[in-house]
Amino acid sequence: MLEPLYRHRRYILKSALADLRHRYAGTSLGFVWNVLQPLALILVFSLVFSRIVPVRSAGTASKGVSFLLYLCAGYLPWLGFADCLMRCLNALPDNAAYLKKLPIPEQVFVAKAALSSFLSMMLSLLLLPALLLVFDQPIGGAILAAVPAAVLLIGFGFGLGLLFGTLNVFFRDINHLMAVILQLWMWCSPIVYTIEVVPERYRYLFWFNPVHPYLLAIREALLEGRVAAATTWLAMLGWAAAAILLGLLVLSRLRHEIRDVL
Amino acid sequence: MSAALDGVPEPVIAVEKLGKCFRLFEPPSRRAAAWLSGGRLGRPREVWALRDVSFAVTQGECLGIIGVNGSGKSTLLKLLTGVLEESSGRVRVKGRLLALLELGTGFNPELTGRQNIMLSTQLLGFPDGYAEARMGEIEAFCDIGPFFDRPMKIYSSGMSTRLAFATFLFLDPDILVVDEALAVGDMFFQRKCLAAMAEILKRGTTILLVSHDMAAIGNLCSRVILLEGGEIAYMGKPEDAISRYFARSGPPGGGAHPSSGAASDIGASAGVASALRRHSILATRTHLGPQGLHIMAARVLDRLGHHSLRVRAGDRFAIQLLISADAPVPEPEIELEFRDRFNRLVCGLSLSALGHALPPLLAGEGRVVSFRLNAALEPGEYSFTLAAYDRAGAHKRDGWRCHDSHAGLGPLHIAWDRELLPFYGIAALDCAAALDAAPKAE
Repeated sequence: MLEPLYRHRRYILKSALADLRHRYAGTSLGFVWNVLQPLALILVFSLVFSRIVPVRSAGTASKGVSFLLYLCAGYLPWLGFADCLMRCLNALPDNAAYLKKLPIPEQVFVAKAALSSFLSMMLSLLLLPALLLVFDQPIGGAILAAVPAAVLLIGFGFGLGLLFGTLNVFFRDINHLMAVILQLWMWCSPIVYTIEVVPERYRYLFWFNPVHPYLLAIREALLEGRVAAATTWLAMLGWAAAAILLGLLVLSRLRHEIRDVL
Repeated sequence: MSAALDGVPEPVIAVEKLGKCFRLFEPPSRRAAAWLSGGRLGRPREVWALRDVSFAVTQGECLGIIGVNGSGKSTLLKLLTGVLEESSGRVRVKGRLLALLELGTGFNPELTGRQNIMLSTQLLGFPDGYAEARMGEIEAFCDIGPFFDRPMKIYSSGMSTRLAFATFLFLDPDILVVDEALAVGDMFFQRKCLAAMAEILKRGTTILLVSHDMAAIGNLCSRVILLEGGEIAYMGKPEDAISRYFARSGPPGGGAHPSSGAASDIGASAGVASALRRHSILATRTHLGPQGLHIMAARVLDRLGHHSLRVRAGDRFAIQLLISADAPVPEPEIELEFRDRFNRLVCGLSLSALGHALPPLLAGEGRVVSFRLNAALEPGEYSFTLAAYDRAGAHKRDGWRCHDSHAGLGPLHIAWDRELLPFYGIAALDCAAALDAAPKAE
């Protein structure tokens, strides 16, 4: 099931790059919009939470990291994940023109959507080293550990995208349902609040939230300059592998009818 | 016993008892019910788009597939290309098959022609450098000048077609599937494409051509399949398939089978009348006047008297009509008009203009009327109109009363199969040359 991804690797890469370049084609700022949009959101959030509704963030204050950095390191990967999931979810209907005419396996288009999300997520994550420099924070080699963590996060999104994207072909409600779920999911994850605001005895619940280990690892790499614990990596790997396997399983069971329905 | 031992080449495409059934779940929640109950609940509506189709194609053959919309042509192609999965039977394809299904839709409008060719070949999984090596030829064949390196969003639809066609042509497929590719693009490019397809056929490429362009089908194909309602209605010689296609589908917009007409005493030779009815190209009967003269059936006969809508340029052919009156018609009149594909009137004729007068018809009386014509026209497709009048009203201010009229019949295909036409231009004037020695100047 993964062999077609290798066979069509050049198409996946080229079209994802083209996607990134042309998403804002015809605009004068072009490429910069990839970064400006998340930046604007983050500015609004940091204003709201640091001035208007101050969040009790003892944890971050004690580590001497401003709330803005904390927010960026969590919110940008989350946006990337949500973007990846939604794009993968719609990859099959969006590429119906190809699917109905060419015998190219479905997962190629889902992978293309995931890669395209990954690229724009990495671009927006470049904001962080820039912010670290601006705020005179230390930058260490461990920051690079954010890259494999981001790859695994996108892998998890790709898996869920395969699973729900396949089902979405048959039940278009899933698309809208997922948009709602993503909203709730975000507030169930420590992104705009820190884990410390949650009472100690409930914190274990976060380990049932699949995106938590990814956010944790990325944040630790970017803000604290250390590589996440082995258990965190194991959890990331586990969730991603499980999602991809389940997605491929569902796709292989339903693929023979997908193009009849599109 | 293997077919190869008999000296018969192995087929490159073998289709056996192929069927495709679409299972429709309406509303979609029925599908969920079917899944959850293991198929016991929520039975889908089954629509067979293709049933029991068998044929084989040998290397270097050009097989045409024709049929009205919804007859299963696209489904068949999608099964051959592997886009859809068959519900029954099987398909075997040997070699690389490339399909030009609805040209140009796979292109990214933001990318240039050149970039799109690269992307398309990558999408199809071609190795590195495959497109680059052929880019020169592709660019030359497209012949779109500087547009080749401009974004495709500024292309005309003809240009996209050129690009797509050129790309697929030069990717050296073993089997090329062309679906309505020639509908767009100007005449010169169409000719170029036809010549190019003839060329790759000679080199041993197999072509499957799906088209409503009967001229292209007739020119290129060695064998034609006529699909009707998802089944093979006819497979064999192009001319036969095409005339059956026209006979069954009727003029555009019609689609109904010719009406068999009322069994009344029509006072005409029963044999001719029944042959006329059997091969009638009229789709439906239209009644413009309340009562009077009606055209019951019409057919076109070629030089040899065969029922056909394909006539060679310069040949004699005939249009035969069966008319019948359901009220007394004092001065029956038949009119015939030919139009070319730009809907320009090529020629209008009437019985009276030709110096004939039909005797008055009583109610229930009929006649067979034949027009004998010379197809001295430029090859192409022509439509024609048949109308029945009563000239008795001609003296009144409002002119003749039209009783029955059938427009857009045909198309009549004027064909040419040799190198040079005996004339050029839109029509051949009746002409004879005389040579005399010129008198010496005094």
